[in-house]
Amino acid sequence: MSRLSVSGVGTRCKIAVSAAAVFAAFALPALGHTLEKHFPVSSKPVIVLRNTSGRVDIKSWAKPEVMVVADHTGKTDVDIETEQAGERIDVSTNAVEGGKGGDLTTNFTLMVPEESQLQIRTDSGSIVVESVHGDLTFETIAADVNLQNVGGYLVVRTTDGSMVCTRCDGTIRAESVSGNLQLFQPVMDHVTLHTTAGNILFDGDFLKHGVYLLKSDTGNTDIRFGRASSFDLTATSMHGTVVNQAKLQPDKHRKFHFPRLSSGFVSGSVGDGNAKVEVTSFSGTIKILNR
Amino acid sequence: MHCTEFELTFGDAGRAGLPAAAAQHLSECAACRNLAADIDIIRSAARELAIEPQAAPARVWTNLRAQLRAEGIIREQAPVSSGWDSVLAWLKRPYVAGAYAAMALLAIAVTWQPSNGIEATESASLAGTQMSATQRNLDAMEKAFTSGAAQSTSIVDIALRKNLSVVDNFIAVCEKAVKQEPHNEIARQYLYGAYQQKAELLNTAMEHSLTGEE
Repeated sequence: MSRLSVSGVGTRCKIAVSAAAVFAAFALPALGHTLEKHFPVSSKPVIVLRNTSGRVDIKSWAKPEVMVVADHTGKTDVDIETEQAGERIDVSTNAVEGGKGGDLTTNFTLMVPEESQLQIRTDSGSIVVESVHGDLTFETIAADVNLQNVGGYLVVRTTDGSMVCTRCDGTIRAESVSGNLQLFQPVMDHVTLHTTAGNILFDGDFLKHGVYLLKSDTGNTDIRFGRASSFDLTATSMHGTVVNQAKLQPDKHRKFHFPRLSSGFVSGSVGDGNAKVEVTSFSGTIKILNR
Repeated sequence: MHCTEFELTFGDAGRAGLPAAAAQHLSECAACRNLAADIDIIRSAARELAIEPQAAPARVWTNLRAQLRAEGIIREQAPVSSGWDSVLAWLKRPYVAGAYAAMALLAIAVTWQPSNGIEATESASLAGTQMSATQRNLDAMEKAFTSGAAQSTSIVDIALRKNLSVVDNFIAVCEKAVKQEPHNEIARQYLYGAYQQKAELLNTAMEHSLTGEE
């Protein structure tokens, strides 16, 4: 790996050179500085971003190129490292020696080809992604994740941050401790959402043969399904209630039909029952509503 | 001998057949002593269930693996084999190994589907024992985190502390439900899921303490 590391704003330089497997690598200290880098790519790039704090905006463009703009606004020096190895581009921020514990806020703007793989992590701030398709993974602690017109295999993990996914397609697995998880107009056939204390909102149609597993342990879950939806539903809240507005028929695909035992359980089919929808909660309220 | 090497050796040989190098490492490494003690507990509890570790049904390992993967506890790409090697493969971090080991046994107790009433009682009893062990391990992890981040006012540390509190509250509610209905498998699964989430959250917290803002 070839690496240029510069510590202190122009005060001293350290150069360390090792293997030559990497085409380009850069690290420079940032203190109220902006860094812009361009990386040519030929096919679907893999972009790995590790940020400590700040806003991350990612949009797609038609160019076979990845552009990274980093704007460090924090009060503490950080190293912003970028590295390209073939189609993989790594970007990371790290506190310079002695700088840990300070304000490391760095905002990123990335322009990427529409078909890209993203692995994005920022502990706090926000992540906003538009019009990118591929394997997309987002991890945050306190940052919110906002996805629009994205697709592929989406994985979202947050601790406190919420997720809003608008017009997303493909498959999604999202998990949070106390963040809300919301899907608007999804075109997704595999949806797995789990939050411990946050709320879940699914606003859209269930696709034929899709599988939808929604679980909020103590938060509430609202489903607003469209007229075109056809699904088998099982909604269970162990110590909460289920409010159902759907015209359910006995489940056509079950051999045995369980009676409605309490206000916390609803089961049945809408239409031909093409999709499978399971909604579970420990103590939250589940609402099944028509759009 | 390194910790990882010890884990594999101990998993294969047990205490009785431990090579000299491994025995020396065990005497010098507190983390591995804790790990060995946890594995002893698992083996002992497995014997109480009258099963050999290698004889655990494939569905137990499959369910356990799927559950841990679904919860994000394990993320490695390599396929997970059956038996104790699978468990040991997850224990890459001695610091959190105790909690994960205790959770592994708890998961067995939760996913085990007894064939008669006596086994059901044993299973519920085992789950109760393991809940205590899991809680102790998680508490130790939490102390390690809170001792370092208790005074921090960063957004992230505040969020982590808040969410630990959220998960702790949920664990308390689940434990109450399990105590009231020891045979309620759904309640036990919620409790197990809450433990998993706490372990994952503490893991995240410790990673952040190494790399993030304070």
